[in-house]
Amino acid sequence: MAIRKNATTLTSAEKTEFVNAVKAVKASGKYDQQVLRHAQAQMSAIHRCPAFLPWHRSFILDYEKDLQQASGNPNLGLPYWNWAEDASAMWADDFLGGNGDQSDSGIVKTGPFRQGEWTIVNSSGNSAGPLIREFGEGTPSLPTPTDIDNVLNTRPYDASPWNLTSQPSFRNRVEGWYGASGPGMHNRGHVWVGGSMTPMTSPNDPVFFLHHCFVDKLWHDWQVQNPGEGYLPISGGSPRQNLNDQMEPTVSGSTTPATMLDIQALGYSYDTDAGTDPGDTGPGDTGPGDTGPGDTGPGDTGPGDTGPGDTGPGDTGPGDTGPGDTGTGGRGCFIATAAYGSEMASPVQTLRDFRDNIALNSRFRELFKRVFDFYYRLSPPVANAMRQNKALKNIIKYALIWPLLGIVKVGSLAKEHLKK
Amino acid sequence: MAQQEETHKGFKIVIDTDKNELTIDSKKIDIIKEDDGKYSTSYMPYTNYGSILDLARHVIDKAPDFDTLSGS
Repeated sequence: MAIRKNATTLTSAEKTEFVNAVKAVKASGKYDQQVLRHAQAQMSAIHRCPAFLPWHRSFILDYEKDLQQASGNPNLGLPYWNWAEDASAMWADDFLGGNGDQSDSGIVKTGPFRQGEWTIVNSSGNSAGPLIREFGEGTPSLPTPTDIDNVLNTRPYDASPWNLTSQPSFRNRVEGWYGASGPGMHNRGHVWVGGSMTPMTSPNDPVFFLHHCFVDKLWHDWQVQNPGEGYLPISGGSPRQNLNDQMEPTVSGSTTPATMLDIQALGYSYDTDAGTDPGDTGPGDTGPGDTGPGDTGPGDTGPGDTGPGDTGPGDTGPGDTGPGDTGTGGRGCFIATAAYGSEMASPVQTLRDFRDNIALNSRFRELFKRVFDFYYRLSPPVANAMRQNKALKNIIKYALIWPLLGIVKVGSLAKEHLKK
Repeated sequence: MAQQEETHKGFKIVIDTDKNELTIDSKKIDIIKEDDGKYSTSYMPYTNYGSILDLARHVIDKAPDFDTLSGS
């Protein structure tokens, strides 16, 4: 399990490993492939839209895997740039290097990505000169801790018309299209660095990935803080934007927003996550005590636990994904997700379909709404208890959810029969 | 057809003000007029601009497709 850390907390060895990996990925040609994929993607499919966050999560995950392969370290995690903190250690000559020389067109002349050591490419993939940075020229300041708190308290995930005018919208606010004077949050980070970070070829600057790693972290933190909120739209949005739509491809191919919701299932966590030990080197770590998500101590078969008791028919989940498991869609099915380990499990989808397409469209809609409101008030603490108590999880799964699934299925069959 | 032309850092900007179309050195640059009246382009995904001319100048200044460092 890769642990993504604040870039300013990296050790000297970690910085060297990261820089060497970046350069190796560049030398292999894969780095420039990333730049081109971002530059050539349809802007409205990856920016200013609901898929902005899951697409970039997938995009930087591809890059992280390239770094892991190049370094030979499968647990290497992308560092993140927290805009609201002093990042002078990140801009030091032993890591990203500093600002460009403003007396010479902003050309970067310090650090491992300086002129002569790093060449950017244009949108056709042709070499296009040195890296350019112009700190503070496009906008004088970066987001503050208050800005971050405000965005984490913004709900829902997104809203119609699902673009840069959507409000209130966590996605639109963290992307930076409202909530600030001028560019906000993510947009502000790009514009503040300036130079090579401002056009669609912005991944030319290695800080792009640390910048988007922090954007991704904010989304993850928002998911944990707002477990009743999920990705939107489920349906009815533009093509490639809905929960189960194939998004614009990244270098590794096309994924759906639904498959990008759970970072633990994707193989990483953040250093600030509860239970994460930033010193954990993953499976095989023989450190004393609990070493976080990679802990394979006695009785714990790790994040993909499919141990005794969790083998019921229809159980297709990868196991309990822990406190980061946040539900999906308009609202998550907390208890069912905790029982089956994943919001993507077939039984969870069955219950969600029943709620969204049958219950809330029936003549008893208002009654069902009151029932569901009661459920959403009650279920988060129950779901948390289930994650910590396997016996409770199995009791609820087999004594409550199985019979409920049976009733839902019989009801659906009866409805189909009556239609004929 | 109403046109607006300007040379910026050696690159020729031509704007069809009737159709809101932009070329830079004859290369067509995609433009969208947003609901708030500002203009955006895929070349610069993080900012909108108050005018097509301002957008064109920024594309020339920042996009590596237009080399302003070597003067070509």
